[in-house]
Amino acid sequence: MPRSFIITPKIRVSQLSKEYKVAVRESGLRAAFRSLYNRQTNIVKAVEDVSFTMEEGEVVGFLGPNGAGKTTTLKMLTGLLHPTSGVAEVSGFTPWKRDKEYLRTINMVMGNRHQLAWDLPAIDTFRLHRVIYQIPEHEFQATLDDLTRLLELEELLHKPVRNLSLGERMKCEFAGSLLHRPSVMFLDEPTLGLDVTMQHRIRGFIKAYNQAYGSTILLTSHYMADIEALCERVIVIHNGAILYDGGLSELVASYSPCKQLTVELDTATADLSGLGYVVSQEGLRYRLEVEKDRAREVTRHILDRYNVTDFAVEDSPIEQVIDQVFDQP
Amino acid sequence: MRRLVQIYAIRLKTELMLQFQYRGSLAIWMLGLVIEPVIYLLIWSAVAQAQGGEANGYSAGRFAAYFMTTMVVTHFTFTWIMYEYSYRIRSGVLAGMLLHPLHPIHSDVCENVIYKILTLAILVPVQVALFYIFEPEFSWELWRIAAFFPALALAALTRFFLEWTLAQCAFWFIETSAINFSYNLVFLFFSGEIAPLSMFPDWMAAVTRYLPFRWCLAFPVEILLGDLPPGAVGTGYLFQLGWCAVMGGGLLLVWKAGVRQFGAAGA
Repeated sequence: MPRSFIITPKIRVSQLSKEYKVAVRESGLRAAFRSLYNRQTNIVKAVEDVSFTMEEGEVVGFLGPNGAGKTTTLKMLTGLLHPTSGVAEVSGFTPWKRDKEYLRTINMVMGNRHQLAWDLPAIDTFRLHRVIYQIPEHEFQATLDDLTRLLELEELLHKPVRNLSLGERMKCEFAGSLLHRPSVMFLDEPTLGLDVTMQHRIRGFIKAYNQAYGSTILLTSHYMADIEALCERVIVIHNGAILYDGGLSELVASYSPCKQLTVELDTATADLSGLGYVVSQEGLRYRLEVEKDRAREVTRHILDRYNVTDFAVEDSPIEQVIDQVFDQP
Repeated sequence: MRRLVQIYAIRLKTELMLQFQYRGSLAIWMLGLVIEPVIYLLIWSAVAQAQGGEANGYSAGRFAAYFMTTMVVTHFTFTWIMYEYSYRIRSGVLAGMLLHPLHPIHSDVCENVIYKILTLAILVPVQVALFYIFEPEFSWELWRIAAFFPALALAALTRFFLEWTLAQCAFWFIETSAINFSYNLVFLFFSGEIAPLSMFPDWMAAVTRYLPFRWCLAFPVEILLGDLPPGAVGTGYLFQLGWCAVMGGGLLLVWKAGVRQFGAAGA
């Protein structure tokens, strides 16, 4: 087959594992003394045989509870960590070989860490990045103008970073990490600690960037709104191993056993407890959880029996679905 | 190479802007560096005077010349990387640096160069004042002054490589203060920082010849003071070049192993 017809994934991860040796000891003075001559360690498997692929331009949500192995995987894919075993290839490079060409094509944004010089205005760090990443001046200016417009940075670029609010700083961090137009982005909790408006704006920006430049994005977030807004596909990881890899809607369909019914009636005294689990009642508004295969029957029953002024049927919240995935044996 | 020159130009400019942010801190650090050799100078001058004007062949004026030159050499060779590295690893600063397509050592070179240039504003007047107060006895031979500068440059390079390599212990150990403290103690004695090496017992002076510390500090000082004949200066250069190569090679090896070991904690 001619080479041009072979479509290779942008990210290919196979059987990737990372183990850490961790010192352990019991509490108390005696255990402290004992550890002086008899140090005990445990092997912790942070990531275990993780395999997946991502196509160019894809946005994938990487989900899991704290300590699941998300950030460790991201660190291996950015070349910060060497794996214990396994193979990974991003844009044809092995990340942990830390090839300069590879580092020029990626970025990593960490919501809890800053990479801009604390004491300087962001524009000074941006200019340094221009030289480090060898961005031609006209291209740098054009990208900076775009980012300034999209992220509304005009007022922020010339203030020392230490004087910016968390949200303002995060916008500058984003801009700084995108100046070299990375083709692969690793976003680790990019909206952490931001208010709802700023979260919304950052989400919109990531989506617009992905559409404009076709970049491949692997995103971790504890905010399900981020995932719902950006990712059609999710990978769920728990205790270092992948539990689910597929479409977000398929995940909800297969793991959500219930539907949520929200009804507004003309009476506040209706007894709906026989139809399902009443999650809440606020005045005339009832929220009811019923098993998926009984949803049609319950809906018909309510519509026949009560005077309904408003009605909605929804899937369970995504947080609840993810909990179901984690709870599976 | 052109890229590296551009990076250095803008990095030096950025570093200058950064260090201007904390002028007070810069001056206080520098005063610390200046005060230490002045204290040794005062003590040894008092010892010389108490012993009838000389101690082990050193008059008060020779001690003044020795410690004033030590101050200059320390200024150009001193680094603080060992104190910072552990923090960099634990706080995630190093992880941020590793994401860039540029070795973190370049940032440290720029930081050091700018710090040393800026703090000359304190070092020069201090040296002038000490010159008038202590009346140092230098050997003002032109060839010695010319020979001093390459020795100073090699001393700075060797010490930078040595301390950058040792700083990377932080990849393996969480707490590196004890290592830093031990290193400083060894450096204090074997480099000639606390006293001229010729005042040490013979066996100790001989040992210093085969350790890197003398070549990082005492050797350039001894050249300027007129303690070394031309042949010994030539041999000294060879020792410096040898240690520089060993430390540079060590740095590359330890860096490669350290990055493999890196846990990216806190990043």
